[in-house]
Amino acid sequence: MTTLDAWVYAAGLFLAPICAAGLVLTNGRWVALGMLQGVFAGAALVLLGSGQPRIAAALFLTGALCCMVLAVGFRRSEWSPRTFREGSIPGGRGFRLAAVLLVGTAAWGISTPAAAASIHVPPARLTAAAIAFAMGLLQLGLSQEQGAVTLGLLAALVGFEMLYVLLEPSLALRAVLAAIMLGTAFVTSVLLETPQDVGTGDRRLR
Amino acid sequence: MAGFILRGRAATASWIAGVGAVLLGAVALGVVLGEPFQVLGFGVKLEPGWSVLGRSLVLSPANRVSIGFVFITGALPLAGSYAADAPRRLGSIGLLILVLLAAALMVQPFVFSPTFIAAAAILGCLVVVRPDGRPGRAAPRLLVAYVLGMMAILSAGWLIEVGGVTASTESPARTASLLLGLGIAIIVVTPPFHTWLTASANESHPMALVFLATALQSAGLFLLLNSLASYSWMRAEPLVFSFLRGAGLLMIALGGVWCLAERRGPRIVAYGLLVDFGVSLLAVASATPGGYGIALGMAGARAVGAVVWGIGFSNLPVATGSESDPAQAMAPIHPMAAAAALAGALSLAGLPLTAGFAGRWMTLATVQGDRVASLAIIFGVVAVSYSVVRWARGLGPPAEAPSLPGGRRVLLIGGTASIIVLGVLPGWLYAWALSAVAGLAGIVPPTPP
Repeated sequence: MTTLDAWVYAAGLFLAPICAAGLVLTNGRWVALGMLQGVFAGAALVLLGSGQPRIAAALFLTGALCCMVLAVGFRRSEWSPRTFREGSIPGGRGFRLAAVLLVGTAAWGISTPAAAASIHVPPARLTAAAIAFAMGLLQLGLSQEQGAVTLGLLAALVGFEMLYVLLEPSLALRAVLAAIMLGTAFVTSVLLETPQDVGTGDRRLR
Repeated sequence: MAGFILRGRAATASWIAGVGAVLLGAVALGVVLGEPFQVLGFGVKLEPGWSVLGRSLVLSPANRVSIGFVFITGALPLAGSYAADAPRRLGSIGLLILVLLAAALMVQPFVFSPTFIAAAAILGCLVVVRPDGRPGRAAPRLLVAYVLGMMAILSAGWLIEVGGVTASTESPARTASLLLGLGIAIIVVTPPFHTWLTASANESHPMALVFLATALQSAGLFLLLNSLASYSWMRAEPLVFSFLRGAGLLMIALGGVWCLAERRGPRIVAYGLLVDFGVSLLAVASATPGGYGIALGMAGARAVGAVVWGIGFSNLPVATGSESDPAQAMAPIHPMAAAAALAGALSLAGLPLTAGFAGRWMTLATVQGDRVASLAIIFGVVAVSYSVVRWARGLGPPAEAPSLPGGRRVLLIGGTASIIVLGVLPGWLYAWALSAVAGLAGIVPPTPP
């Protein structure tokens, strides 16, 4: 690794978790999207610094496309994190329990000495990925609103990718995960927009 | 695509989606692979495998029955969606979801399956919406659950495939088993990962609930059987079967108790689905080919019961064309629709003489000697049946007019009759499931412990 690679790598290690934390804290629509792109950019820098430029470019491009798709949905629906955070209702107990179990299991899995020994991940990268992932989960725990959930889920997916690309560098899997990210952004954008042709029926609760 | 373009015509779109799913199922079950054959005078040759992004999608004798099963059980709610006034997008998006679930069964290595199941769930968010089309709580919960479940299974898959997990490597095997168990628990909607299901029961159309719940649970069942078939260390690990038994008991106990506390029809059915799948897990936990066959047969009976309930429930209220009278405590209902909703829900409960009963009876025979499991199965039947009957007693008086359109009446009568016929003559469904399992050398563990 050259000096430049080391700097790029280090910048990515800081950028991704910081932007993921910013995503949780921000109240602005465009700042939130900027932070999300920052998470993707940070992960891409880590990959670039560790000698995977093609995967890094693909991840950065995926992030840009996700943000563009979400921007369209956010603008048309006038969505804002502030609106939902201030008036949000805490999640149900079952949902929170599920989130706690998932976070607990993830933390346990990462910190298990046997697992850590077998996957040979640089500790700094493991920490950065875990923080980005955890921040995404935190965002999921704070809101059940579609837009906020998607931002958190994408941040968590990027944190997962930072680690998983080291374990399973298959291009096919990268493509499938990129499709999952784009699909998430697209579905959210569609759902946030004004409905057009949803069917009839208001007979559910009985 | 035709279904999506014609989504403005609800009947046409739903029939295109339903017939399309049946045709795809028939192709998966009956097509001759690798040899040319004639269709309407045209020569066609289908290869058994396709390469996509360096990975293979393979249609083999081991998986073609399960793929056909996914398409044909999925066709029932898609074809019935018109009669239930379901969201128009359910037909086209539902068919895409079935294609993704079929791809999840075809992809090699199967560790890629959860990515396709997650993609199907992401598309499913478009149908579990509120009546006004806005996303409620179901869509984000579904999205989060399945994407996080995918991550858990991918991590487990890495530990297994690359980390070289075997029965001898105890700690990584336990980690992999736990991650895989967590992922599968999410996909088969084990509590506490069921919250999207109940949110969907509150918010979305009954047919959307039924379609997504049965399709995703079936995909989870096949993923579970694939895992057991692929990894000998899993089959040799008693903890895996204890985990499945525990998950099944948890689903039955919690689903039954929640059912007893619930008064709303869709939520009772949502909990009934939990109980039903819990019984399937007990059958799988028996670790016998017979148990796997029972679980497969129950998945078919579950789809029939849920779809008949969905059509019946959606047609319950009589459209009067005017505001309801506040002085009238209960609106009149269509008796035929009520009968179908009741038959479908009681089938999910597993009451005798309905399609769902045979699976419970055979599971009871399979878990002979396991008193806790036997009591749990009986408790599940009683709790869900009682809740359904209590709900039905709260319905309004039967209406004389206006009656339902002829097509809907046929579907309602046919659906109710099919539940009773399957209840009286369940042999052919389960015989098919057992023979299918017997022929699935790749899915059935050859040496159960």
